[in-house]
Formats: sequence, C-alpha cells, structure tokens
Amino acid sequence: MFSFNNIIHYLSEILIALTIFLQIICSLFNLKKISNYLTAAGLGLSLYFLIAAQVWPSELYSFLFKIMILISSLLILFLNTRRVFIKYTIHFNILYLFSILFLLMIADSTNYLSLYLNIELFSLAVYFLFSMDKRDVTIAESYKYLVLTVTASAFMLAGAAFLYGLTGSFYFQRISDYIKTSSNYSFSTYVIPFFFIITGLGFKLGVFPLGNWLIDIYKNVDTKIAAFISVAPKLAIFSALVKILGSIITFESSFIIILFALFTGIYGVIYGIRSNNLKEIMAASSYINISYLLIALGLYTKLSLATMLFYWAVYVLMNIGAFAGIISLEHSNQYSQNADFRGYFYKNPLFGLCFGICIIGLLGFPLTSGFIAKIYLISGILNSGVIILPVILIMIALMIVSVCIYLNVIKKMFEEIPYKEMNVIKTKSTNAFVLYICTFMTLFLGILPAWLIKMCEYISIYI
Amino acid sequence: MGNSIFHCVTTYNYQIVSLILFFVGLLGVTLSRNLIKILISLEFIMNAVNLLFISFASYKSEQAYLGYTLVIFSTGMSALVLSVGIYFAYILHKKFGTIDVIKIYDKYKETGKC
Amino acid sequence: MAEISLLIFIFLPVIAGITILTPLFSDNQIYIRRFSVYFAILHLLFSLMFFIFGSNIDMQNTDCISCVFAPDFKAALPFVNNNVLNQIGIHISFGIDRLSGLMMILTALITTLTVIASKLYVKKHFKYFYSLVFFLETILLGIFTTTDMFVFFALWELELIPMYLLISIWGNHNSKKSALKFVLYTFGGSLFLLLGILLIYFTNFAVSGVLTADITHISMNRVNLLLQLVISVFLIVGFGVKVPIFPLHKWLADTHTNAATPVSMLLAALLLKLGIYGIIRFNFGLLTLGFTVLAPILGLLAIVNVIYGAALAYYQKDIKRLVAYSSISQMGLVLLGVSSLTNIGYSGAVYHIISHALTAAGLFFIVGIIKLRFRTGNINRLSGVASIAPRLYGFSMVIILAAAGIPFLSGFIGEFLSIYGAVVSSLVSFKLYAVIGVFILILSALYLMKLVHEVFFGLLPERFKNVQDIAVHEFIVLGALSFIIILLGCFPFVIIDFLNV
Repeated sequence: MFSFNNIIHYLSEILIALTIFLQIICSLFNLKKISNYLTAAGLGLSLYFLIAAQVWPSELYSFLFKIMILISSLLILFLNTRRVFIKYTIHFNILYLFSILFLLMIADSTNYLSLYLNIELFSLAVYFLFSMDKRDVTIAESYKYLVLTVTASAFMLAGAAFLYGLTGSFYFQRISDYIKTSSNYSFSTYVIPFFFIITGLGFKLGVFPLGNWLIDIYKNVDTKIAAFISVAPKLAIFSALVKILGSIITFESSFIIILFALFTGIYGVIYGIRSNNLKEIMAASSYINISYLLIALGLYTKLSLATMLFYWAVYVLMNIGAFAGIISLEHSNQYSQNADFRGYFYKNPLFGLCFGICIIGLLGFPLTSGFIAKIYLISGILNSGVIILPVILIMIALMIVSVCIYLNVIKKMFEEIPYKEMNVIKTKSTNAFVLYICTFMTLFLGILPAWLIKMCEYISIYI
Repeated sequence: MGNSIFHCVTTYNYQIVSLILFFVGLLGVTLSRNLIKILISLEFIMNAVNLLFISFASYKSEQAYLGYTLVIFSTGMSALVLSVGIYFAYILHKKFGTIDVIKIYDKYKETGKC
Repeated sequence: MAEISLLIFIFLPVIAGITILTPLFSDNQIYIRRFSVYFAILHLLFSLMFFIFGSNIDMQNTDCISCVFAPDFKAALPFVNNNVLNQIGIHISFGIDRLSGLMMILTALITTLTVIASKLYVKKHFKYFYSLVFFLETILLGIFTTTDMFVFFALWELELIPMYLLISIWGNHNSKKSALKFVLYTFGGSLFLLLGILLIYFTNFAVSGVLTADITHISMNRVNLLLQLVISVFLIVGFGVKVPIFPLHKWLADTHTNAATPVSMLLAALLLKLGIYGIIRFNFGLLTLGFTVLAPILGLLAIVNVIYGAALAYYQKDIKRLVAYSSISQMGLVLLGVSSLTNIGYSGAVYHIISHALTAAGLFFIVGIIKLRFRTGNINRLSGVASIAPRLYGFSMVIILAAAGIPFLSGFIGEFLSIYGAVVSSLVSFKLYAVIGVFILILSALYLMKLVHEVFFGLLPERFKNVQDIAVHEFIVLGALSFIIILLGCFPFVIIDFLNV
C-alpha cells in the first residue's frame, strides 16, 4: 500500500519519472547531448537510491531483480545503435526510461491489477521502441507484438479472474492466506487459473506456447533494443512470478511450470540447432536458459531459488556481453542484420576473445561464471530429491545439444577467411566498454563467485 | 431480482458465455488475415475477460469493488492499446497498400529485409 | 616448501604459455619453438627432481594395501590448500600420491616430446599452438593432482577448450566437424560426471554431516548399494567417454584422423588416460562397493572393447585410423586390469597406461611421419618404407613390437599383468575373460603385423624414390620413446615396486 511516509522506497522510480520529465524539456530545446548524459545520470542515481534504501528482508529478492534491471539497462544504454536512432535520441531515451519505470513497478507489484497495468504500460513504450526506425519490418513486428501482448495479458487476466472468483482477492498475499486457511483445498480447482496465468506471463519470457515472437523480434528489431528485451522484462516478470508462485505453490504447480520449461527448452534446442544466424542463436539460447531458470523457479525450494537468482545475475551479464559483441560486429558492417561473423577472431582478436568468453560462458565452461552457475543450478535442482532426476536428465540432454548450437558460433569465429574480406572490426568506445565489463564480470564471477552465492542464499532464506 | 428469467441466469452461465467469447476471440486472432479483424478479435478477448470479472464481482458481494475497478482499468487500457494497434495497422496499410497479413508478409519478403 | 614447488610445477606451463602469447614473441616459428622446447625439457627435469626428492619421505610409512586398493592422497606430500570457496566446501587443493606422481611425469614427458615433434606439422598460428599446448599441460597436471571433486570437474571441462581449438584449427579440412563431435561426447559425459559428483557430495553430507568435496575426506562406505550403483553408473558414463568404453567410442577415430599429428599424440597419450585415472580415483577408490558389483560388467565391456577395437583396426585402410582403433583395443586391456579388483591387475593397468601412452605417441608420430613424407595414409598404396628410411624402420619396429606385446618391451608387462590379474581374480567371470584375453594378445599382434607388413616391407614404388629419412628432431623423439620402452620392458619393477611399496 502506498503512503507518503515511506516515499524513500519509491525514490528510484520517482527519480526515473523525474528524468523523463527533464527529457521532455530537453526535447523542447533539442538538447541531444545532454539527454544522453541525463539518462545515464538518472539511471545511475536511481540505482544508487535503490541500493541505499532499506528494504524488508522478504522484499530482498525483488530488490535484487530491480538492481539487475537497472544495471542491465544502464549497460545497454551504452551500446550504440543505427544512425536513425541517433536522430531520435531524445525520443528513444524517453521511451527507454518509460519502459524501465514500468519494469521496476512490475517487479514490485503485489496484485494482479497492478501487474496487468504495468505490463501493458511497459508494452506501450516497447511498441514504439521497436518501430522507432520506421522500417516496414519493425512496424509489422510492433503490430505482432501488440496483438500477442494483449492476448497474453488477457490470458493472465482470465486466470486472475478465476482466482478472484475462488478467493475473492487480487493480492498475492491474500490469495495465499485464503488458500492456507481454507479447509477443503484441492489444487485441481486452481489448475486452470494457474495454467492461464503461466501462459500469460510466460509470453514475456518467451515460454513455449506464446513465445514465438522472440525470434522475429531478435532478428528484425535493432540489436540494442533486442538486447534490452532479452533481459530486462524477463527479470521483472521473474520477480513477479516468485511472488505469484509463492501464493499457490504445490507439487502440481511445480509440475506444470517444469512442463512448460521443458517444452520451451526443447523448442529452443530444435530451433537453434539448424539456425546459422547469430540472432537466432541468441534467441535459442534465451529459450534454453529460460527453461533452466523456470525449472529452478518451479521447484521453489530455498536452494533452487538461490541458484535461480545466481543464474540470473550471471546470465544477464553474459547475454549483454554477447549482444555487445554482435553489435560491434554489425557496427563495422554497416548494420546489416545478418552480419557475417566468419573469422571474427582474426578480424579483431580482443573483441573475438571477449565475445568468445561470453559465448563459452553461456555454454557453461570453466573459468567463466556460466560454469559455476551450471554446477550450482544442477546442485540446487538435484537437492530437491531423487524424484527430479528425469528432469535433470532431460536438462542434460538440452545442455549437450546446446553445446552444438554455441560451438557453431565458435567454429565460425575461428574460420579462416580470405585476406581481402578481412576488415578490422572497429566500434565506438562505449560499446567496447560494455563488452569488456561484461567479459570481466563473467571471468570474475567464474573465479570468485562466493560472495554472490552467499548473497543469493541469504536472500532466498526470506522468500 | 424477482424476475423469473434473470433468476435462472447464474454466474455459471456468464462464465460459460465469457469463455466462449474468449475462445472465439482467440480463434479470430489466430485465423483472421485482416489486420483490423485481428484487433476486433482482441477486443472480443478483452471483453470476455471483463465479463468474467463482472460476473465474479456480482457473486462476491463483499469484494465486488475489486472486480469493478479492474474492469474500468482494463477497459481504458484496452482502448489505449487498441488505438495504438489501429495506428500501426494504418501505417502498414500506407506502406504496403493492403491490410491482408499474408500479402504484407509476402511483400516484405520480396523487397528484402531491412 | 614442497607444496609451493608443487603449485609452481603445475602452473609453470601457464606462465610459459602466456609468455608466448605476449608481444615478446613475433609469430616466428624458430624462436617460439626454441623457447618451448627448452622450457618443456626444463619442466620435465623439474618433474623428475621433484619426484626424486619429494617422494622419499612417504616411501616408508605407507602400507601397500591402502595405497593400492584405496588410492589416497593423505599418504603423499602435504597438500596445497587454498580456501577460496570455503563456505560451500570447495577447496582448490592439490596433492600427489604415487599414481598421480607417475601421471605427472608422463604428462611432462609426452608434452616435451610433442613440442619437439610438432615442428613440421604446425604451419600457422605458431603462437597460439604452443601456448595452447602449455595451457593443456597445466590443465592435465591439475586433473592428475587435484584432491577436490569440483576442481577436478572444472578442469575436466576446461580441458575441452584448448583441445577443441587444437583439433579444429590445426587439423585438416574436416577437423572442425570432428572437434565438435569430440567436445559433444566429452561434454555430454561430463554432465553425467557432474551428476555423479554432486550425488557423492550430497550423500556424503547426508551420511557424515560434513559438507566437503575433498576426496580424502569423503567416505562412501556407509552409503547403500543402490545409490552407490547409480552414482557409479553416472561416473562410468562420464569417464567412459574418455577411455573410451565400447558404446561411447565413436568420436575417437574421426578425431584422430582429422587432427594434426602432435595433437593426436597428446590425445592418445594423455587425454585417454584421464578416463581410466578417473575410474581408478572415483569408482575404485571411493565407491568400492558399487564397483565390486559393476566389475564383471566392466570386464565384459573391456573384452568387447579389446576385440572390437582390434577387429576394426585390422580392417582399416587408413593407417592413422588403424592406430586410433588400436588404442581402443589397448585401453580395453587397461580397463580389464582395473576391474579385476586385484593388486596385480591394478599394477598391470597402471603399467599399461604408461606403456600405451609411450607406444601410442610413438605410433601416431610414425604415422604422421609417413603421411607427411609419402603424402598418403592408404595402407594399400604404401610399401617398402623400410628400404628408403631404415632409421624410421628401426625405431618403428621397437615401438610397434612394444604395442604388440613382445617380451622385453614395455607393452608385454602391461598386457601380461592385466590378464594375470584377471586370472587370479576372485570373481569367476574374470577367469573366462582371462582366457579370452590370452587370445587377444594374438589379435593385437595381428593388426600391427599387418601394418608392418604392408607399409614397411615390400617393394618401394618408383614415386617414393626421393623420400628423406627422419630428421634430427624426429630422431630425438623416436629415440627417446624407444629408449624408455626398452628400459621399462627390461626393468619393470621400477614402476611396479614404486606403485606397491
């Protein structure tokens, strides 16, 4: 509930809203340069106030998710885009901040009404972000995304309506209380609402039945926005999902979530194995990683939630690093969407190395944080009992095939190319900066992960 | 409430109707080739959900305000989103000269990506 | 002091590799090779010195049975302990016992020989090649010496990265595909290995209440048989990819055929030994009960391995494929020795590991020389090599005869002890395996004699008249290998006593 006494808790959101207001003033005088700095400053300040604010221990996980959203959006802000976007810098910044604002609210939402409203408002900004360059393809993508978003929201709302009919409330906490106190509780009455809600929320995560949009969006939309879409909304939705699952978690709901997750993973693997395009591979990687994360989330034990948080932190950095590598490749190729990444390593060994480390991290090889995350995730899942062993075996099969997908990238990177095609990859320093930071963090968390693991375990105790 | 016709219409019937509406809308979204028809089907879906909420709200007399609040919000929100959708449909029509989904798809495959 | 020297010994190759990568060296073969060879020889000498001086202390105070039956690290040098991941029970720790000491020397030796041998086979990216070889050496030394399960697993997977690059960049045109196959198989196996390791970790915690991943502190004796069996199966799938045990061997021949000669040498001589080392360390040492139950099945698989490998080797047209399949056959014998669960069998297995490392490296090098000089690997098109390259012929005979198991050469001792171990085993099925095994000795002679007969003997075709005999660096490699093979064949008790003190 909102009250002005604890306004400090909303300071980061208020700061972002204030920045949006200042951006609008900037747009009046067409102050492009200031606008960029202002956005970075606003996000940085709101990150600072987020960390500085005191939170209840039970809210710590959404706090962590919000930090991850802000960090990832700050990093993505530094990536460079195609020329058209430079013309509309201020508009881009306004829409970007707008979407981040509502993402933070999604992560904080306590009931289905605010969840629905924030998702819709976030999507409203995203439709225009997609089609900012006004190409035919992106407008079509925007339209498609709109139709799917509304459908998915309707699914979620239908589920919420059934829950409302059963329990008489929208609030996650009250639904949980009602279920706990009701005498004749059986999950079978909750299966349909739960199914609807997961389908609706899974849309934003790219979970199987409605997650088809992901590939087209990755392929057609500007890479910077694709990077944003690949990370931030999923983080927010996961934060909401932790709350929702907390209200109605049983064996059956775990089963449903794991089923969704496995389908998603299998779909991603099947898609990724025959694709030859970096964006498609990233989309497949998103499907696969989301499926691991959903399995860990669905089990809902303390350790599996801790592993989920750790995996998210690691995955965000690796994913942004990989996108930064892709963008720097596209930047030197006149922004062709299907940039040829053959011989990447020989074109620019340092970039190639960093990009390779990010990809290897996604693969889960040692020395990178992906390895620690993989071990930790499997141990977290295994810890919930031997009954889960078949799921782990399917996960292992997914991992084995995903090696095939990622190694395709590495293989192409080390392919020898004729000398005349060898144009050295050059990009803006900010882009390289993001790539280096993500690579450094990937290696750093691969060697010294203990502090983050400790933090995640501490947070998961209070969920 | 003494009316005999309305007496036999329970919340159960409303739910059935709203579910039918929901799936009709879903079919419309998936099968329709017209950009505007898709938007109309979306409106079907949203209205089905609204109907569901209203029926439950009338059933839950104490917490009825929650359902009505949500319906008001969702009506406004869907109007907002639909207007954006119509804007996109309009631009697509301007660019491609058609509102047939498959024709648009074929056209931008022809002209080459980007 | 000893612990620091162990750490230095393990991580020295990484420093060398990084030194090569720095701008200090241009992409000039001569300087890089000179540096690498000198460094590798020094490292080998270091390993010997370390071995002679470091292991004197523990020679007296270990009784033979514990050392043979439960390979433990406690009996060895003090550990290098570095509590980085203390709170989740993972320590980056290294220690050596007799088995890992032997493997360490073997690693240093084979790496040295590989570095010397790779002169003519590496034609591009010299910097990357030699540094990757040194990185690989450190990883292998780490696997052979670490006492922590998770570090073991991490290094086990880490080894894939240099290996993938080594196979794919310097191999022939098909090498990328087979490198992918190699990584896929090993990665798949390693996930099962991870599952096994995690199960050990959790069950040990459930039984003893201590959250540790240190092999020396884990005891699985109180865990029930079913769970032990499940864990053992997972581990054997993981290790079996590397050995390779029969159904998991598909990657080996392709990878060997398409990789460059020095990479094949490394792969056959060292990488295949990882699997058997893991089986000895985990299944044999930790999960003894489960291993006892699984031993007859493993013995059967070993026999299948031997026969299958030998039969396939006999029918190969390509000499490199022949040698590759021969190593499947030879590793089967090692597996037989380990799974016989006897003292003698274990000694024989370890002995055969070393012997096979030497002969496989030698065989691959010989095949590489022939393929380079004669520009063909087809067994039907080659003949009369002996008449034009007598020195190559001489060394080849020593190595091939050793691989075939002729007395007074190292191969004989290993084969003999492994089969003898099966004979004296208390399990009835192993008597049968031993009977089959005796005939296998003939089989392995069969395909190797085919190699000798078809390639070395016969008339020299006209087009091979201008072929040169081996050069100095090849002479050094083959000479060193032959010398060690004869030495081990004549004085086998150097190693057997060392293992069983």
